[in-house]
Amino acid sequence: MTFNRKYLTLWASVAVAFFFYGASPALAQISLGTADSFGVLAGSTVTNTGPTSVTGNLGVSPGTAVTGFPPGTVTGGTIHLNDAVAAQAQSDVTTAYNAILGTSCNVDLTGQNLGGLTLTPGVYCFSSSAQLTGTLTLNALGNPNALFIFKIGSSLTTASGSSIVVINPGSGSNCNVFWQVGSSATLGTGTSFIGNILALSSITLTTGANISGRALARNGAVTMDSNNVAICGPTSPCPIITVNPSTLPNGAIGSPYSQTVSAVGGTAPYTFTLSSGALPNGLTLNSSSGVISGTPTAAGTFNFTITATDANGCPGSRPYSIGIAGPGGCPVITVNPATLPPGVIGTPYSQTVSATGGTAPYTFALTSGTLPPGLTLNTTTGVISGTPTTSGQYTFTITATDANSCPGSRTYSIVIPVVPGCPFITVSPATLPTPVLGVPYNQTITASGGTPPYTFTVSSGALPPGLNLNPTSGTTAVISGTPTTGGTFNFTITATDANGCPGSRTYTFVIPGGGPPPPPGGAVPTLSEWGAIMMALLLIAVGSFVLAGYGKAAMSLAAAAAPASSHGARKSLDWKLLARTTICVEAAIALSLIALSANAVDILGALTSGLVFAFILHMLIDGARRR
Amino acid sequence: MERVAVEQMSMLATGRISDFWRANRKQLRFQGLFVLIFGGCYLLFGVLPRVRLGVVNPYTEFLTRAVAAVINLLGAGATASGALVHSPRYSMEIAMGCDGVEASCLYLAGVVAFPASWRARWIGLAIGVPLIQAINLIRLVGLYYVGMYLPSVAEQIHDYVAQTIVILLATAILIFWLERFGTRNQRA
Repeated sequence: MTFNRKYLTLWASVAVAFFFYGASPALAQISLGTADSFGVLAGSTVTNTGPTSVTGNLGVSPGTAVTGFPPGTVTGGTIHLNDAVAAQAQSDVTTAYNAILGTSCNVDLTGQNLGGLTLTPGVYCFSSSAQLTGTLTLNALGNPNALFIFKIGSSLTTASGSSIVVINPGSGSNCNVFWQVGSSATLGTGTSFIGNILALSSITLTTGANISGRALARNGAVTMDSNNVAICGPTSPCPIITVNPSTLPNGAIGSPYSQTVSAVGGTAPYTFTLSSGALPNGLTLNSSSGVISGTPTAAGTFNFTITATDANGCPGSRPYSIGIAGPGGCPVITVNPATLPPGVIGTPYSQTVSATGGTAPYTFALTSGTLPPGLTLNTTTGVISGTPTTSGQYTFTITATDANSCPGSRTYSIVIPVVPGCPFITVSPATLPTPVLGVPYNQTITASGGTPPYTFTVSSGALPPGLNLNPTSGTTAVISGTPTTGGTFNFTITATDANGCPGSRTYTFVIPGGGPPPPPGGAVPTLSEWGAIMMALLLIAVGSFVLAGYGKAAMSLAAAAAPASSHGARKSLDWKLLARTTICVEAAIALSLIALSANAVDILGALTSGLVFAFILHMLIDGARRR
Repeated sequence: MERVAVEQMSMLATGRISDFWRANRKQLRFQGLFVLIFGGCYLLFGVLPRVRLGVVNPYTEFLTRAVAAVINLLGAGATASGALVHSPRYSMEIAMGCDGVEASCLYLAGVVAFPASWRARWIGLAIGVPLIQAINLIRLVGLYYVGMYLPSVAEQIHDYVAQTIVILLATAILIFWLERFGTRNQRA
């Protein structure tokens, strides 16, 4: 086949232009932010059995329960119970999780067992679950920054004795491996695992499973049994950071106060935050210098914790207590008792709070929160009395003020159970993550406070179609399945204990989208979107070129040699018109892309496609003009 | 007066559109048919789950076995498993779009939309579609070797070079068909 110069122009411009657009962006590194310092991080609870060793921080947020430490040990870090550090780490895990979700798949391994495979750096996807039986070899090709990403739609499971091996790691101890798990991850007995697991729900390490990396569960629990979790990768475990001094002096109302806390052991500079409790009224903490300063305005004892975070995000904290004396030198006034007993609906309730440490008589006031409906506080005697009318858990603060106006306060919580004689049964968690249409969902509901086993039911409303509530043990049930319909769903789950005592909680799911789930087997096309558009435009241009009467002249040597005078059979290109059309089309595309803040791939793809589109448009305009 | 002017402008615009349509009737018909046919093919092969599961996926597995067979002829010791070609050194999955179906659909739309005789169209499809599949097979085998021996540039070769070659060769096949068959058996 031969071409004349006119036709070669189109070919040359297209061939050159093709080298300037791509199908997918290059892989970026995934940052865990402050979660980098955590070996284990859970959303609800961390539970351990046996002599587990965790290197780095161990945390839980928004849950508060960590059990099994000891016998488990945490080295090179501390345990963070729903403090600011753990909350920030969870936020950073979410960011990293979403960043991984946004990467494009290089290879779809759905249905493949990872055992026996040797993989090179890239993004590997499973539309549903992933299974490892045997050994998975990750060949880093000598690149210490080689990145392996595994995107798993639902669960990750490894069989007993499975292992992951990184070969050719380069100069570093390469474990730049990320496992994004759409539901839960379970590592079988004796598994030797490499990488950072970012699971939407829970992570379970069965007996003897070891991780060189991190176990980061966004919403659910991390359950361990005689494991070794050690942070690996370019970031070393956090050092122990100590906040000084060990105690702070007391102050007085109206007297300026200034003390400095400092940190040692980490990498300067440090950031100081109030991770729990409250400073005395009138005092503030400078987050950069660690200076606590101001003039106290209220008397009392104030307990709080200051956390110092170093330049690498490694935290250290210390609890403090500052007593603020009143204008005349107020003493510390303590409100008693420490806790109040639960009440029963319809049964008279009476408890007395008292104060010590000051000068009688005292007056009592409800300074925050609310009492259970039906109960009142006598401000002179401190008696809380009445008949409870509504079940629930009520938290409030009572402040006692002595004869010299010196205050002291304590926060209480009174529980009123649903049924008289029953304990208050709590259904948790307080909120559930929102399911995604067409994506497998798995969340655990837990009941506590009563006598197991519990029976779980949906007592009002309905779960979204595709989701079901199934009991999994005496104290837990699981909402699982794949949502098939979008919309807003309100439902209440009631847990009834062995004695028939109920407890319930209402949840709301707002599932965006609608229609059927996406077809199976999807993957990122190698013929990229812009590739398909370009090929379509090119074929349309060729067909239109021929039909417009340029064809024979363009494609035949004999015809090309003949004079181009016969209209309809030997048209020549109108170069001026083509130039004007191209400028107009490319300008319109460029302006649109600027307005849409398009990315580089789209800009190059659209501008390149615009060249061929301008060529087609030129032929149409030229055809109409010649008529 | 204003009303008359508006009516004249309206008639002028209508006349220009009518002229544009008359002058480019064949081209616009070809372009419209192209879009419709490709849209239909994409719906059939790319969206309908039954066709994907019953036709495209089995074809992809066949293609995987063909790639492994060719690689083994050259002595790399590859195994086909589902849509995955793997050996101890490298593994590659033939994903949606890698199977050449999309490129074949575009070519099919170009041939069928062109106003040629049905005989010429069948010749075009009988020659072009297998050729595009053969080109794609060679591309896949090449990509496997690039991935095995030049992993650092495999992504660039995959995204930039291999894709460009397939698109340009498919266009060349259409031009060849137009010259030899399409325009000689063109319908009015």
